[in-house]
Amino acid sequence: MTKQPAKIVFLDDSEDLRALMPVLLASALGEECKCFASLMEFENHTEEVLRARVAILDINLGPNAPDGIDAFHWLMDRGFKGKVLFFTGHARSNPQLALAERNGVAILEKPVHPDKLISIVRRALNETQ
Amino acid sequence: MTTNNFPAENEAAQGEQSGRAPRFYNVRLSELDAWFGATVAALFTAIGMLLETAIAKNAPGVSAKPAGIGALVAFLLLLLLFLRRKTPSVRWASVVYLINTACVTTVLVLTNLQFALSERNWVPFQAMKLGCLIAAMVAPGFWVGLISILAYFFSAFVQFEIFFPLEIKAQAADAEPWPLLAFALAAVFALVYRFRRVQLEQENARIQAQSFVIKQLTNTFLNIRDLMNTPLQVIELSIELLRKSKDANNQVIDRIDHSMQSLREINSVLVQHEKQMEWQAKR
Repeated sequence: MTKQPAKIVFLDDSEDLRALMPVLLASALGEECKCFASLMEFENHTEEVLRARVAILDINLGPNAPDGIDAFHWLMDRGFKGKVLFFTGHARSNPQLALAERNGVAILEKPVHPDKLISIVRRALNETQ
Repeated sequence: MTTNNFPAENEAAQGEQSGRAPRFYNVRLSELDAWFGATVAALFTAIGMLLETAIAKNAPGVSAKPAGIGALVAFLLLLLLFLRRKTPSVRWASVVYLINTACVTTVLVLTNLQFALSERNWVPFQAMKLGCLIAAMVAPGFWVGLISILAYFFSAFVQFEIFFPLEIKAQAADAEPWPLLAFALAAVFALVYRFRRVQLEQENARIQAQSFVIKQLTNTFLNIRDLMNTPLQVIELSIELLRKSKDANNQVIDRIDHSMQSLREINSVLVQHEKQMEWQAKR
């Protein structure tokens, strides 16, 4: 029997968050969350990423590295059908982020309460069923 | 408390700053501009006095000596301005400018009557009128410019009213002193306009500099929040997972949660300040 692909993908440069997010989402939603540290890792797992139903993207992925907005465009260019959630330290400062928000992309400003995070991810999963 | 105080502090600071903004008559030119203005005036006087000397030599009954001395003084002032060009100052530019004005008015007062008597078609006080306009254009300070204009006007006016013989008045200066007054007033208006414009330019530069600093500060705030928020998120998620664990020590977790709440409040204060700074920078 083949393993089901992860329904949630999480892109963040924080190792701690990448360790905690799958545990939280698995315990609350019973869903697997696959974590990536950079857009390059995303690209190395293109098929798996594109099959996910929810993509949670951090904006700032470290100095001189492609950011979450680049990851968003990368997903859109490859016809990603799922829901995108931005997960950022300062949500309103990036004009491209504001543009994405107007196009229906949810923005979560860190630190978000775990209950709220779980409920938003649950709703996103339901919308993409 | 801090959040509530911030706008009031901001307004007070703005009030202070706008209170300190000088009126046009107190505007201070840059050292270089003031120095350049005094240099142009001295150069103008030097050349003008040389021409005056040449004219006086060909005019019977007109002494070339005052204009010659005037040219010498102007060249000395030019030399002084040139030698001290590396350390320009508004104060010294003003002093030089006033000496130059005193020199010009003295020479003109000494030669006006001689020209009036010598030349049948002498046009009265041309050089004085020109001096008024030059003062409006290049004076190194508002008050220095105004003093110079008044010096040109009153020296000519007093000379005309008190020292000019009646036949000269009737013959050569029939319409005076009104044209003289018109030139002096035009020069005062031009001087006010010039310093008002400088005031606006300086105000604009100050606002731009302030806006730049605010933008820098906003970026710093954003970076701090960005660096701070990921660890806060880690703590949030960790608290949640600890609560759900079987052997959770709720007392300890509550303490962490309480501290986390304080950090959230600090974060919300930062957000408010950040929004205010963004608003200030956009103004």
